[in-house]
Amino acid sequence: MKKLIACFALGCFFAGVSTVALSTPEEDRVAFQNYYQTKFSDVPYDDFINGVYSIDMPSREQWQTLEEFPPYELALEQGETIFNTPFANGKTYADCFDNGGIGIRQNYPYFDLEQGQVITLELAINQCREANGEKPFRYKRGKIAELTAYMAYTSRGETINVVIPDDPRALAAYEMGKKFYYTKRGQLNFACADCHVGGSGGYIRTELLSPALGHTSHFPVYRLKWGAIGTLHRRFSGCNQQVRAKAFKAQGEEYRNLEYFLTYMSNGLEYNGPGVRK
Amino acid sequence: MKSILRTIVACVFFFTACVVGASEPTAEDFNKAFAEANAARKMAGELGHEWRDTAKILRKAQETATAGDLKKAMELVAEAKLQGEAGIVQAKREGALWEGRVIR
Ligand code: HEC
Repeated sequence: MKKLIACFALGCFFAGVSTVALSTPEEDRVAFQNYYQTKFSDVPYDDFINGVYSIDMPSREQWQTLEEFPPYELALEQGETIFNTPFANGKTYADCFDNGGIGIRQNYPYFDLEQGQVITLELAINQCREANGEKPFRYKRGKIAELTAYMAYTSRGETINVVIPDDPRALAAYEMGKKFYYTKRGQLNFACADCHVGGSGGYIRTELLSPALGHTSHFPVYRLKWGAIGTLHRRFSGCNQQVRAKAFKAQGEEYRNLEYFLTYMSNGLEYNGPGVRK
Repeated sequence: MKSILRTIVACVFFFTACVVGASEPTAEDFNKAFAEANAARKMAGELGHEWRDTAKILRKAQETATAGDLKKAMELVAEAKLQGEAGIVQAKREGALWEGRVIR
C-alpha cells in the first residue's frame, strides 16, 4: 500500500512537472515565425523587417517614396558627428566597442554574465559615457536616437542573432520578457500580443496592425507622428500608454527583458535601421 | 391616493437629505481615503500593473480637496482606488492566464 501511494505521488509529481514545463526559447521562436509566415503567406520572409509596410501595399508606395529622401538623414549625420566627437578625456565611443563601434549593432541586446543583466545598445552607450566621465544621455529621443541611428546604419544587413547563454539568469530574463509580451495591462486590458499577434493584419481604429516578426529590426525609427527619431523603448512606452497602462522606465529591467525576448523572436532576419514609419 | 403619493415624495426627500447630510465628508475622511487609494495604486505598480491615469486622478483629488470641494475630491479618490484595486486583480489573474496566449 505504501509503495502504491509513493508511486502515485511520484506520478503526480511528474505530471505536475510536465504541465509546467516551459517551451524552450528556440521552440518559441520557431512557433512565432511559423505563425506569421502562415498568416501572411504572401509576404517573403525577408520582408517582415518592413513592419506594417510588408502587409499594407497602398501605404508601402508612399513609404518607398519617403525612403528616397529619408527623414532620418539629418539624424544620421548628427549621429555620426556625435560618434566621432571625443569625450573630455580624449577617448571616443570607438574605444568602448568592438571593431571601433562600426557594424556592431547586431551584438545587442545580449545577456552579460558579469553584470547579470540584459545589455542593450543604448545602455552600453551610456555605460561607455559614464566610464569616461560623461553624463548619460536620456533614453527616448534626441542624441541617443541619433547616435544609435548612425551605429545601426553601419550595421545594415547584419543578421539578428540574439543568444541566450546557458545560465539560469539569462533564461529568466528571456522568460520575463515573454511574460510581459503576453500579459494584459492597463485600463483597456490589452497584451502586446492581442494587437500584434492575434490582431496583426486587422485594424485598430484607422491603423493597420503590423506583424511582430521583425519588430525590432529597424530601430531607432523616424516617426512622422513624432516628427523626430526615437528609440525602441519610446515605442514600447507609447504602446503601453495607449492601452492606459502606466509606461515603464526606458532602459529599465522590464523593457530590456522585453527587447531581449522580442528581438530573439526575429532571429534570422536582418537589421535595417534606422527606419521610417507613420 | 394623491396624499399617499405626496407622503412618499416627502419621505424620499427627507431621507435623501439625511443621507447627503450624514455623508458630508471631512478632511480626515479625505486623508484616510486618499491614503488607501494611494496604497492600492502603489501595490498595483509593484506588480507591474499600475494604470496610466491613476496618479493623475489622485493629484486632481488632492487639488480639489485643497480647493475645498471635499465631496468631489472623495469621488475622485474612489475612482483612483477602484483603478488601483483593479490593477491588482489584473496582475493576479494574468499570472495564471498569460501562458495560455503564447504562440505554440
Ligand atoms: C491596442 C493595440 C496595441 C497594443 C496593445 C500594443 N501595440 Fe504596438 N503598435 C500598435 C499600433 C497601432 C502600432 C503602429 C502600427 C503598427 O506598426 O502596427 C504599433 C507599433 C508597434 C511597434 C513598431 C513597429 C514598427 O514597425 O515600427 C512596436 C515595436 C510595437 N508596437 C511593440 C509593442 C509592444 C512591445 C507592445 C506591448 C507592450 C505593444 N506594441 C502593444 C498597437 C498596439
